[in-house]
Amino acid sequence: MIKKLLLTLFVSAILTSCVKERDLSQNTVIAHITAQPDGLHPFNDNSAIRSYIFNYTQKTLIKLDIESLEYIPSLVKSMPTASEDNLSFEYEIKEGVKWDDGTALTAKDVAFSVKLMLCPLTNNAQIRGNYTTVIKSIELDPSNPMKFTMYAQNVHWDNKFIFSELFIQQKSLWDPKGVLTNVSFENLLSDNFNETEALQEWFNTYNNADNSYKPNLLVGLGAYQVAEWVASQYITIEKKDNWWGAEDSSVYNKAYPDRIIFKIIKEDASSYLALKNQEIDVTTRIGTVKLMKLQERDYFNNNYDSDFLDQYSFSYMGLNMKPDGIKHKPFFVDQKVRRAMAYLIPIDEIIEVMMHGQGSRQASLISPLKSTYNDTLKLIPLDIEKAKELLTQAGWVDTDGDNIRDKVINGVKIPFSFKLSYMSSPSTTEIVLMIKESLYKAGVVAEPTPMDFTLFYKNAMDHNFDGMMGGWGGSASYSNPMQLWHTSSWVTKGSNFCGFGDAESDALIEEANLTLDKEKHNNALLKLQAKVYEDQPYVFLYATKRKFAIHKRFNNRGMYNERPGVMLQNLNLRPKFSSKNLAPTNGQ
Amino acid sequence: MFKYAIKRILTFIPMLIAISLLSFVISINAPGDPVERLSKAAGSEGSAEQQSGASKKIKQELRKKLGLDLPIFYLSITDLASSDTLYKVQDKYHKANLDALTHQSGNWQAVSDYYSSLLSLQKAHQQFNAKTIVVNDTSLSLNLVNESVNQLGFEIGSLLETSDKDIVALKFEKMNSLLKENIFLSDLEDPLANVKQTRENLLANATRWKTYIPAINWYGAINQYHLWLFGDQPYCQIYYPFEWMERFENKKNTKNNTFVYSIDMPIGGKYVTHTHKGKNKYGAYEDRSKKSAIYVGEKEWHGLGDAGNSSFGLKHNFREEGKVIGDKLCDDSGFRTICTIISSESSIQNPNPIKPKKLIFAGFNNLHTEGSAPRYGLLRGDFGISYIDSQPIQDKIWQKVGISFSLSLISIFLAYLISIPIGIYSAYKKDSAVDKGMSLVLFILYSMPSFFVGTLLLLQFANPDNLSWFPVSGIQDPTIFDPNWSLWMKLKHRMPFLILPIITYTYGSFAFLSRIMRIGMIDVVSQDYIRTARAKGLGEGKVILKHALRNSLLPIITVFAAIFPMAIGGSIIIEVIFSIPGMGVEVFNSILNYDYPMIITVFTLSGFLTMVGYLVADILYAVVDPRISYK
Repeated sequence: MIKKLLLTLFVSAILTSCVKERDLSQNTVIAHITAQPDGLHPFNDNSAIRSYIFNYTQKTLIKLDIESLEYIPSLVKSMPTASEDNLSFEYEIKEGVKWDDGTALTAKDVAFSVKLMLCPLTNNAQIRGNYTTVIKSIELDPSNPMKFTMYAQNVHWDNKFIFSELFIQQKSLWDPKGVLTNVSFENLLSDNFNETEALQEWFNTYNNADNSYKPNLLVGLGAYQVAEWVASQYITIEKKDNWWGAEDSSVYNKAYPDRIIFKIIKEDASSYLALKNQEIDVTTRIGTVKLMKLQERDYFNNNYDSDFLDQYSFSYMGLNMKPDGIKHKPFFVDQKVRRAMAYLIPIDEIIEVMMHGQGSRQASLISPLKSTYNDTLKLIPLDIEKAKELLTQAGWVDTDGDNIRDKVINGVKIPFSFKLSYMSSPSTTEIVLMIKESLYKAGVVAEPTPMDFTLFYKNAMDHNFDGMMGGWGGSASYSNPMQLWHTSSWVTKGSNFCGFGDAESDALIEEANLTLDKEKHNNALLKLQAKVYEDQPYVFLYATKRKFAIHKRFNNRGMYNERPGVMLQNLNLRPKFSSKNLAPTNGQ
Repeated sequence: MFKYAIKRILTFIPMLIAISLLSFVISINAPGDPVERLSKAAGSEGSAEQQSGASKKIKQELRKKLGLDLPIFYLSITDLASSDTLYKVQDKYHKANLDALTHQSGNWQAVSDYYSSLLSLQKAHQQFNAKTIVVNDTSLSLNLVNESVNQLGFEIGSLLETSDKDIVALKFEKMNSLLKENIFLSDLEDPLANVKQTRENLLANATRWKTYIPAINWYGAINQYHLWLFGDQPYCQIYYPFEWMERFENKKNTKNNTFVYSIDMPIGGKYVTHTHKGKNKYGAYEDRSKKSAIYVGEKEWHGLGDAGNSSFGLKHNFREEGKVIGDKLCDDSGFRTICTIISSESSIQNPNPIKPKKLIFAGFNNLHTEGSAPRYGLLRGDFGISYIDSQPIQDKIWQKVGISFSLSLISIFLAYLISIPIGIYSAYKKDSAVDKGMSLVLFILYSMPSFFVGTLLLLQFANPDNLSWFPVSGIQDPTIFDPNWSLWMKLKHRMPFLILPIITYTYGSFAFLSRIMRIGMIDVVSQDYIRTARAKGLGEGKVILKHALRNSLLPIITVFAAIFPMAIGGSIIIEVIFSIPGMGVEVFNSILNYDYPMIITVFTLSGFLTMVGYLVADILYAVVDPRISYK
């Protein structure tokens, strides 16, 4: 009897709990993310998903327009004008920008935010250097509270764009007592920063983790306010009432959805089903195979727009140009050998097999999507014969008939068998094995050497490798070649892992950085690319594509190369869907 | 029984210490440097990290904040050759190299000299600017100069991390030839000669015997382990009346210096003389004069007087350089809060006397040093901060433990509910076709991996191609869930989300539990007392369910103990497939990201919970079987 009762209870529980279909007439966008951000603190946190959400909750003075890829004014009237010496930049804040309490945004708020970014007490060690090397001080205009001047440390290409990722915070809200008011920029940037007790106390409060997580503390100038953060599940942001930019014409100040929910789904199979069930409206993080499978279904195509688009990150195989000769033999010292490697790597095949064709080959350190890309550089084809010829020219010949080339270096015969390090993952292992097979055809042995991130990175910085498989993330904004290609980054444990560069390339990098003249800047970058191409420290492999799906019940379903790739604020619910009477369908 | 439980709980203490030590040792020996991780986290392309000095300072700050600049344990058992101050070296790799060098030579002083000579060589090298050299001597090519300077820098950098004799010798050779070939590097000759000198000294004055003699270094309470376990904040902080403060001040001067008290002076505070004289409220005569801290505001003075019992009813005068700057009639409210002194120049009374910020008697364990984040220690539930997002671990795991615990509790409950009857039935109908059939089905279930079944269930029951009965992911629908719902509404809302995960979580244990139950039951059923019960003429149901069942439950209880640690471990596979925010994924992520504070927390907590589980099981034994008692 009891058993029967329990069974009925169990079955009825299951039946009553069957899912109700999602109400698609709601003006709510559910965007898919695969992990939660490390926090939503305007200064202390630092993840890609945080920047994604900040697009809607925070504002910067200027902004990279993901459509035109130009910087556009956001909170200021116009892009800054540089002084003659290119060291000071004048800004004027737009009228009518208001904080949540109704007070107007003024230059004081900007100075306050910049101080926070520069202050050694802020918990932003990772990014502070980007600002302390550029900003020298902010000077307010005594006659106009909306005007201020930024003084730069040096003439640098980044000077004009430094405010594109600095989220402006309200001074009167965070620092009503003005603890930071009298802290000078000189003091902030000095090595012996004077930490008073009052400052320490203020920063202890400001750096508190609550300011990264508690929704009511995550305030900003954006059209949306964080309403709820359920750890590891979702983050909901809601449109503010009486938001200052409601009447603004800029596409970034549109705020069509009433709510945007960032839903965390880690597993690809679950994201796939969530798309099928219309549980998410927007994703840029679905797996390639899954999206291709979905695109075969009519009902998916009826409900969603989907596409694959190039992005700015790329993968490469790095070759150690300056090995120590003791632990690592000089395999890749000769440019001919490095070029031979480029001829030997079956990049097209890798893209076809591993990425199902959804990747683009890369020829240069700068993405072909950028205006500074050097389009005269030709992709190096797979050509084993050519590679063999180059290897022979470089002195690597198979003298003992074991199908492995060898060479006598300093009186010792060395077979061409090098270690290819990579961060262990199933897909990279596959790629490395494909490379290994192809290299062997030319008598070169690559030993796959998997390792974890920490060791891999340490080895790369110490130039403790023969060859390595790596990748760099990137965006449409200018990426300073200093870190990757300047010779000083080789010696100071920067990211010039392979040892590229000479006085000429260093001069080109400096020229590109230390000018505000667009033509000069571009020319230097074009030459630098040609030089990297010629020298071949990297074999550039491919850029994977970003995968998009956006629900068709919204208009303005734009998809862009630049991250985050979508403009959620601009998704406008179609009138047909907003009618409450319409029953949602699966499109079947 | 109660006594037994208390005894058991007491034995937890040494066990916990052992677990904490073990997990601490693991974390200390973890590969990689957390500071490197936290400061390099943003090392994406294009970041303009040009000033290595700045980044060094940032790392130093982080190290201090995390308390990693302290010695590891109360003491270290090393050998006579090793230094007791090695922990002060910031760079993890330099530290390892110094350690290796010391072991090679047994002469710490020589190693230390060698190290500092290398550092000064590096510093001298950093002064070099290829461009100025070329400007001064136009016959040189910038390329060559740049290349040689960089090569030299690389050799110096790697020497700082190399102890292998052959490699070091080769590096010296390389540096020599670089200096010989390039005259412009001649400024470095002296520092290099110094390095060579110290190196030779190091090789010549090896005292290897010292490495065989053990030595103990004592570091005291300010060490990483102590702070991890106990924190650096005092264990009792009581706001004491001012009178008491003096008493503690006296104590402070005695030997017993664990008692410390501190007054945080409000901003702008200074000391003035504070006197009172006369009969107090209780009629006793008071005549005192002492220095007090006061806060000078615009129009009023807030004093931190010593308004003890004895001075009630007295007028307190505050003087600066002999001049009365304020006075106050002390009343009861002055006892614990601050006196508000009205300026003699102004008669405005401050309506809100400010309270002293911190007026504490700080007991045992007041170890906090400036610049580091306050820590409360494992014992007070402070598990440290996560290396991934700097969030306190306890905040991160609290909710997730709840979800994992509820899931495993529901699943265990269901598993018992279903498998105990099956087990009983199988035992009762031992070797019948039903028994065999059920075993077959259960073992098939048992052998199916949960990631497979989970995905299968999703594809079958949450897929518009088949049956769209259940939602795909999460435990609530963000578009309708309201945190203010009643518990019942929340449960009702979450039910459909949890059905598939619970099935996936549970089915595997059916076979296991019902088998254990079956064996236990068979064992019991063949006992004499069961035969007696049957002989008495009791019904079969009564025999099995009343007499046999209770005794056959013992093995099942043993298994029950395991659910406690399960709550904190969670299940990665199920959580990933169904996007459930439980502990499994959290632990998995922390392992991938070397988030050692999190890993250790989980490790320590599951150790603790396992002990709790076994205690509960032991108590349940006694409940089920009266023959077992723990007197």
